[in-house]
Amino acid sequence: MPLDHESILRHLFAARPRLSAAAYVVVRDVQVAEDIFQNVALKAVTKDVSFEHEGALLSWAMVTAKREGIDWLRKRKPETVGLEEEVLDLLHREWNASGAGPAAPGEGDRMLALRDCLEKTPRHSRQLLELRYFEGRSCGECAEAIGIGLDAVYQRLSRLHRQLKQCIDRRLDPASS
Amino acid sequence: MKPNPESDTAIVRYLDGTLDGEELRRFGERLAEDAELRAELREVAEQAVAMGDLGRGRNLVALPSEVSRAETSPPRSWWGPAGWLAAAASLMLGLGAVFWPDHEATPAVIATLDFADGAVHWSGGIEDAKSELAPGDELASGNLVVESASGAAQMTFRDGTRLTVTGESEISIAETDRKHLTLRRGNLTADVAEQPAGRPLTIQTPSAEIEVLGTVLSVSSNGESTTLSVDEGLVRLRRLADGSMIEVPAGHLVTATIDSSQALTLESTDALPEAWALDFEDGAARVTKGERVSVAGVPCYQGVPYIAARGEDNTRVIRRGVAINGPSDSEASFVQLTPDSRLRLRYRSDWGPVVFLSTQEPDGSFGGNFEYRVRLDDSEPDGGGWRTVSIAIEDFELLKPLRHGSRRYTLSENKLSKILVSSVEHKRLQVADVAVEVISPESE
Repeated sequence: MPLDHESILRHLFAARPRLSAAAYVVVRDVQVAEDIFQNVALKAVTKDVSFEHEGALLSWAMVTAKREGIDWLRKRKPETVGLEEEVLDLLHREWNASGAGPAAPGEGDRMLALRDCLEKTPRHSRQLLELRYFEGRSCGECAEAIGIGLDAVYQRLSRLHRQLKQCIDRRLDPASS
Repeated sequence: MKPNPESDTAIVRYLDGTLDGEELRRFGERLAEDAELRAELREVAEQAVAMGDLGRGRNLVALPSEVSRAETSPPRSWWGPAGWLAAAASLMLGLGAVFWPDHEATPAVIATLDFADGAVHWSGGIEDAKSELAPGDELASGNLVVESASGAAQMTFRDGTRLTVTGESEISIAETDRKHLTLRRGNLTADVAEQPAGRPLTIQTPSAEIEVLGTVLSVSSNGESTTLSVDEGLVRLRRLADGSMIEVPAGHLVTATIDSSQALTLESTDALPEAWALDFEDGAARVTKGERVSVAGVPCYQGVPYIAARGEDNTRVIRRGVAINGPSDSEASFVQLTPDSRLRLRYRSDWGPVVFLSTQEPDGSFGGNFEYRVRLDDSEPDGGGWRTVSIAIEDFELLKPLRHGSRRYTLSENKLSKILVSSVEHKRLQVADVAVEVISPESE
């Protein structure tokens, strides 16, 4: 029996971090990635498609998010060169394979852990993350706003992502620390 | 994500759109070859999207109420201008009560802990993980981590479904309109009560999804492959790599990997032998812990450190061990025990090792964990320092946390699925021979 709309939305929202991130890797704009996720959800319940099970839905959603991202780039930023589609496929397959399941509590916990970790991040570091991701500024604009070089922004952001990853892992699984 | 400044800077620069053509080409090539780099990119992308959510004042946990606010003051493009926004919002509000935990409310209890042994952690909702678990603890949806190879935890759901997780495993457990288990790695056995029509218990792993209506089964997953072994009933498995499905009847097992070019095929779970010996060349059992070495020409396995338990202050209790599992990632047992079974061990150590056995009952459900402490004076060393002991199955004792429940475990009727020989951390341990023999009292 095909999934009903309620189930479709439930599964899609449970997988939203993965689907939005998969779109983000293509378009490299978190706002656009969010728009793409919403379009995918809209298509899933309004277009003439049906899904027999969650896996089919999420595979379709991952492919659709990638296609929408590529289409968006072609229309809005035709000069932009992105990753080869084979590499994107590889990433998206791994995203599908690493999915934590539709009703797993991990996604919400992960967001809470991220929020806690950000609160513990030193103020100047948090300012950079806020400029880059809360406000969606480019790294160049962040460098200008903070008054540091572009390479320093790249290095700081790289380090902050690593630290956030470690902090989130510790929050989610203290045994791993 | 281990520090790798070069790759991580490339990731940040790629996402900033500032890699030039040649740099982008090289970055793409490295991504194609380097799974770790791809994992880093996925992690950074997920963080970026999550921070974008936080920046918009919305997060997954608070989603329902945020959707409610969206009706009066929509954030940028939240569900767009489409006329179905209100319907979707109201639908999401309805769903929210079920799928986004309200941390102000008391989470619903879905199962009761039967026992936890070894380094076992439980976390539910936003609670910090707790490692002091006691039989009778009521559990809401959450995550269970069995850190030690000899660790185990068992819980019983309200409908009588019994779930046992053993040895170095990580699982999320949830129940909404159905039970859903996410086995990220490790081993579980489940004795599943009959589930409501249309609402099967589902088990998701990184490589497969399994639907269960009522049966006894065991599942093992190592991230890249999943093995399902069915002892009773019929279970459906879907491989995530390509969506292909297979129904697994009683007495069979199937392995699904992330490689969809391999056909899903059923294998029979044949009757087990009653005698077995560790053969250094044979694949009938696997040494999953231990370093293969040679001591004066004697091939053997040297114990390696592993986390055995956690102390009261959460410090790690390290032991040194050699572990032998079934022949595949399924928790497949490899020997049928009998009342006349004896375990023979040839070892070299100046500390009497502990022999731990994990077992399955004849129907495939969890059969209990047992151990025997070898004393050095049980045997005399030979010229090379090797000692040989033969331990009667009846001398093994059920582990303490399992003794107080109503369930009875009978080792001599069970199938053996794991042998772990261990010593304290600072003592050398070498194992040259492990065997299970059947020696009737008359022949002794």
